[in-house]
Amino acid sequence: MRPESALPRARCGPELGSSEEGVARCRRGRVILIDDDAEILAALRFLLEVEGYACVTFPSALDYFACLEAHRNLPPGPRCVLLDVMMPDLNGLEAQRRLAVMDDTPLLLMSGASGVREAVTAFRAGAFDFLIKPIEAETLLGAVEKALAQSRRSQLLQEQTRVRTGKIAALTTREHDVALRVARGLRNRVIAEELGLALRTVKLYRQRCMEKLEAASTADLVRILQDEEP
Amino acid sequence: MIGWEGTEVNLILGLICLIMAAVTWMILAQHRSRAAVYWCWGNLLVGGGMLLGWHGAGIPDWSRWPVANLSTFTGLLCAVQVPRLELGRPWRPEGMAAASLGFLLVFGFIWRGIGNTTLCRGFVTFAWIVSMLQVSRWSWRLTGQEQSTGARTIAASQLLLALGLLVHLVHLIQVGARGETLAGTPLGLRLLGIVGGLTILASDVGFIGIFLERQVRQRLEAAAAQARQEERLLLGNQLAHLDRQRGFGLVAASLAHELNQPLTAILASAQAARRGIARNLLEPDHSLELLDKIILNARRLSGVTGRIRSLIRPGQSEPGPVDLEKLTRRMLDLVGDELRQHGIQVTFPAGAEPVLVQGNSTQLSQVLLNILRNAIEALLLVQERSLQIQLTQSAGVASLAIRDSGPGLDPEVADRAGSPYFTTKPDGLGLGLSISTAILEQHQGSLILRNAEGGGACLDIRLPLLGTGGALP
Repeated sequence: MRPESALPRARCGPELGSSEEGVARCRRGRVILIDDDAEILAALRFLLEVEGYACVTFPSALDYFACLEAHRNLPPGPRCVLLDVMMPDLNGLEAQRRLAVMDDTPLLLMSGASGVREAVTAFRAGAFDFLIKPIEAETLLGAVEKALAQSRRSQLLQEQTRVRTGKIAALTTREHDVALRVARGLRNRVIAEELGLALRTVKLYRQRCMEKLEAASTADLVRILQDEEP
Repeated sequence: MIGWEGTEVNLILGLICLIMAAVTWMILAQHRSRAAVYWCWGNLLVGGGMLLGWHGAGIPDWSRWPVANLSTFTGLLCAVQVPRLELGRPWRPEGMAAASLGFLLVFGFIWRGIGNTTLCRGFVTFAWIVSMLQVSRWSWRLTGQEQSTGARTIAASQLLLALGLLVHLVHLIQVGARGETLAGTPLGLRLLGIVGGLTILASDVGFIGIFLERQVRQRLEAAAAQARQEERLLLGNQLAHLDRQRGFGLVAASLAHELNQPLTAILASAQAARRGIARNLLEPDHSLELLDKIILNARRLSGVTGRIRSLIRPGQSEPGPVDLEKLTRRMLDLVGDELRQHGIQVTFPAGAEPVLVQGNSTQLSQVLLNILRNAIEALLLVQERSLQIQLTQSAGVASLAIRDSGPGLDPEVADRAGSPYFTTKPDGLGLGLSISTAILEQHQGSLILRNAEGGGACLDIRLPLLGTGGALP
């Protein structure tokens, strides 16, 4: 019944990182398309690629899961999933539940014959948006752009956390003790008394902390250590 | 011989009886039942007896009086027989003959043996009273059964005459010893004559009335039955139509999804082309590819709309040859999206030659759609979903077996399935199977729902093949 797409079937995504254009597209955003209709996959992919996004397609959510299993190191860059609700193998809403457990990739659901109930279920499960087929390009691209922005924000946040955690991990125990007290606003002399160190040593440790945490000022250091405090 | 013998009253009453016998016989020309024969003979015998009592015409007395009284009494017995016949409890003719003979013997004994004229008159009067009360009683029963005004008229008039004769009898006993009778006085004679005449007329009219009323009632009942039949047919058609609409509604929901898919592809392809060309991003072969996609999906669309058209084609209500295999495949196409959606495997081996039946293809497609929908719903309850369809023909019969791998039927459900308004579905009307059965019966076919060997339910449809005279062997 369903005609096979004339476009070569998309591979799973990691290969995008191997070409210059692919890397550029991935930086702009990667859309993971899942629909059981090959024609829709091809058409939406064309539309998204014209707009400069990277696009990978899957005929079912199960294929996507299999791909995630096989390739842990996907190219960096914002991404979002565009998922059809009515699919034979794994229903879109069920796939959404499984995806939500795996990571925080924003999820866009699309459906042609869905009722209010499905939409509500999808939103409750944290869907980013719910699109009704046939989808207008403006609506689709707007939703995709918002989802990618969300993804970008959350990736940036993750990156910052990762970097900060690494910097803090580079401090020695003594330096960490000193840094925490500086962050609490204690004077050098008080810190020296508390830790039973010479004032000179405290000043030295403090200097090293500033260097290791790449803090330009005491205020900077306070900000970096802020989230560390329980 | 009750005391008015030889008078004009006898003549007039006798003539009325004979005339009414003839009139009744002619009016009831269309309804000459046994009751009518008895009634007219009764009238003739009573009238003949009366005329014989009026004038001997040269017959000797010893035979004239017994014959006259026997004739009248037998005529009255015939009158009793009429309502008994109508009530389905007639006397046997030999019984009636025995009663007449008994009457004749008693009469002869009193007349010749005892020789007492008054006793003789008393006996005859008494016999008349008893007969008339019998006529009245049985007619009254008939009234209770038929609500017939005619029977009521007979009952009332016979009772009236019986009462008149009772007065006469009482008078006879009181004064008879002196040789005077009530009928012997001019006033008494006239009164008895008037009551007797009215009774005869009223009874005859009543008797004719019974038949006329019955005729009217029959016509009314026939009209009512026809109206009921038409109403049932109309209601049946409306229900079938409603069911068809509901079936179409359910199919439409799945068709909407099927329409949306190619539409989505067309819209996305066209907008991709529009954007790509506007920004000079598309190579020519890309544009061609997009246009090809648009064309391909537009064709997919027209395939779906074609199926919708075939579903609601109005001009196909005329009966004609129907290719069962083609029709079944068309209906499978119609629910094809649902079958795919739920992962249902369908096997339907192609037949060597077409299986043709005579029928209304719209109605038959409704039946098939109903059955396929039932099967799909049953299959949703299980993991292993398959549908086996087999179409065979042999000995003038086309057999279509549709077997699903669903949970099958509970014995209780199997018994009640197909009766109107019985359903196991929360949103079901319970009419699908009974309408399907009705449609197949209109086609001289049959539908049997049973549990298949090895699990699942199986639905057997049998229809006479085209050109076999339209009846299952």
